[in-house]
Amino acid sequence: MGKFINDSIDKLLVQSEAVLITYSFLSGRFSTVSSSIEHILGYSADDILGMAVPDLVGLIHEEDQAEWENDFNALFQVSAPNEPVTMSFRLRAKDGTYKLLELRSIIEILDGKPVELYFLIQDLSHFKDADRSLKQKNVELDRAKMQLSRTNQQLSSLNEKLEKHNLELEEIHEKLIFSEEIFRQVAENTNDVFWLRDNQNIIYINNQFEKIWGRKKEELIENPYKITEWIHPEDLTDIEPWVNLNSLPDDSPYTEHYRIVRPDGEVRWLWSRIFPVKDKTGRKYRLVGIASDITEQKEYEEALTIAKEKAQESDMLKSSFLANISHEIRTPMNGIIGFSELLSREDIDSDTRQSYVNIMKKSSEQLIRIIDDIIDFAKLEANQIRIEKASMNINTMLDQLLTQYNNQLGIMNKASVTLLVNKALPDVASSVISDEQRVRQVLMHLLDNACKYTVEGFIEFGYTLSGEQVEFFVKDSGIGIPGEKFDLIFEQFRQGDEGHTRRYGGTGLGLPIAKALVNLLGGSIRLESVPEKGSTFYFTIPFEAQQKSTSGDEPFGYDKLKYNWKEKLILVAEDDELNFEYMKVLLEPTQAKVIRAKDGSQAIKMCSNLNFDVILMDIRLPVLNGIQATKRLREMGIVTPIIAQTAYAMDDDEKKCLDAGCTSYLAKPISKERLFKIIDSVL
Amino acid sequence: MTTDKKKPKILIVEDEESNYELLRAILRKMDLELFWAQTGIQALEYCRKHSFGLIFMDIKMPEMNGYDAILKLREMGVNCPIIAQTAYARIEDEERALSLGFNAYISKPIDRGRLMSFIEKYL
Repeated sequence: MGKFINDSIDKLLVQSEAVLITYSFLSGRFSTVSSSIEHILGYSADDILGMAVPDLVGLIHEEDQAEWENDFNALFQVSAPNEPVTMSFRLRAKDGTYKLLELRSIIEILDGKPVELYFLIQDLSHFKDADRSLKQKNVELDRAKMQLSRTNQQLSSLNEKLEKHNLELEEIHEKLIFSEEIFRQVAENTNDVFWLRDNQNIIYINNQFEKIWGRKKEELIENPYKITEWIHPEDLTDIEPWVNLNSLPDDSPYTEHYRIVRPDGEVRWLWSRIFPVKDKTGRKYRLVGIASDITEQKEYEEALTIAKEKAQESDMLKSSFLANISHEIRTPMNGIIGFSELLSREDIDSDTRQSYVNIMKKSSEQLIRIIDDIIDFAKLEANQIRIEKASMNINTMLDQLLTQYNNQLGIMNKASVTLLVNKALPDVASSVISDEQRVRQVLMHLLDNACKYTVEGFIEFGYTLSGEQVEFFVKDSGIGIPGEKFDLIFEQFRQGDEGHTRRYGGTGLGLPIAKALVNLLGGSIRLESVPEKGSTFYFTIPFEAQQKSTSGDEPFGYDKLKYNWKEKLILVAEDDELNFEYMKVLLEPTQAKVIRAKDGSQAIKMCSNLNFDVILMDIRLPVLNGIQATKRLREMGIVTPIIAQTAYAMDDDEKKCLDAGCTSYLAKPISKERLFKIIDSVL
Repeated sequence: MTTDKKKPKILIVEDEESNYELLRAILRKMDLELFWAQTGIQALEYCRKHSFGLIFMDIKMPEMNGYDAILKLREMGVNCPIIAQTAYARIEDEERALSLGFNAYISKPIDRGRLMSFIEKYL
């Protein structure tokens, strides 16, 4: 009899020569055995129920044990439960013989837990050998199929997992690429150096570092402390926080200006901001930094500061200059006014009167020299001094100066000073083309100084030839000038000796005037001096021998005239007789016909009667001035070119003239060359 | 004529001869004994030897200017009236002079009436 099994099923199994055994996972025992077991294997159902699992397994043929175990284990691993598994093995019957059995098994799983195991066993021993082997092959095939499907299932599940994994990885990768890209764009597309480091290593530094520092990144990354060698030594102490992470003063951003020295020695200014980076626990563990090259900004700031200081200094100099000028004017004025008052008193004898007059005369001369200086200076400032070159004889001029300054020294009671002159050329060969008045003026300023600052010894002046230049000199054995003041004394408003304690008076304008005049003459001025021993001033002018001259600036030069205005009619509106004559002489060689108008209204009248080719219009005209006349002419529809001319060379004059309708503008004094050019350009 | 001892001694400190001559001419008719120093240093030397009733002092002078000279004189215990007479004619020049211990200030060109009033006041 079967155990714990429905009788009908048991009968059916006996007829089918099949055995059914079930195993309960709950009780850990075999729970059902069909009675057919006895017929096939000789064991009773009770024999089987009395067995533990290992007892039954122990009946399997030794050679089949391994395979069985493998198949059996597979039963639990099959991913889709309740699928039957087929296996075959030899089992020892009760009589000791081995029977070849085919076993189909199925596992019942409930809530993921195995509950019941079913075995259906069939005896294959009675099949013919061929059948048997076929059967076995089938079983093996089935098994292989099973394994394959199992493996397949495993593979596909693995594949699924892998694919999922891959997707996740790809997503992460994309995110990484994206954030890396953003970081790189930020870090590399800035003009600033950008870096990140911990307390040992540079973690990141952008390429801008190489541009600004002129060093290789690798060099720094290899040894971050190398940076201390590249920073300007004077700024190095400020950089301490860089080297040690923990010495940052506090958690706030750290800012520093410092200089770096590039390999080529160039110094650049950097502005660095350093920020601590903290981990989750709040510990500083990295530094991130940005450094901007602020060299240009620094230079600009410095230039501004210098400009400001200069402006302040020049302001101060100007007011002290004014105070000084006022002092220098008032000093002789004191004598002039004071004695003139005294002269009006009746109770003075003629000798006293004469002595008063002499003092007044001396004071007046002193005053006029100061005023001349001031006027010259103002003219130079306003660009109103024009160089009028003509033939001049240097030797003659020097002889005249010798006489003049010998007298001067006499007046100054300086008999102990010897005056000498030194001429490099014989008198007949010493003619050059230059502006004698201006050259003389420069020499007089230098000689005045020499006389003023020399108590005894000598003053020597003259010239030498050096290349294309005449070099004049004035040498004295006076008090001399310290080297550091060489440049200063040529500056406006300065004297070697400033302040209220001064031995020597004067406006301090002499040398700046001399320098400006020399520049206008096309030369340069310089100085050699030893304090207590004396000074030598040198200045040059271009050496233009008379016969070589083709200078266009000469008013009455004899260069070949290239302008021929035979048929032209020129109106010169000029109130000053002399100026008109001058203009007429200038224009004569061009064969132009020149007509004069004495004032603005006359000019208008003439223009309405005659067709002029060009009008030279003086601005300062009586009745109607040049600007008014020009406006009127333009209103009348007269389009004749009008060239304005004025002695007041102010910038806004030119604008006024052009606004009024003048074609162009000419500042007086008028040079022939410029006059011709400008007329030629409008004709 | 009284004796020299009774004549008030006046010191004129002035580097510019014409300016000294003017003061001398203005004071010519007064019965005064005039001394002329051309620098601040010379003024100090005179004051060591003489006791002056009044001093006229220029400001801009070689070696020692008037500003420095009056400080030295006051240090030396010279307490006679000292009048600044200078071609520095700005208000700040006057203020500076008075702040340094000058009793009065006259700018050049000198107003004779003003000068005489100071003499009357201080002599």
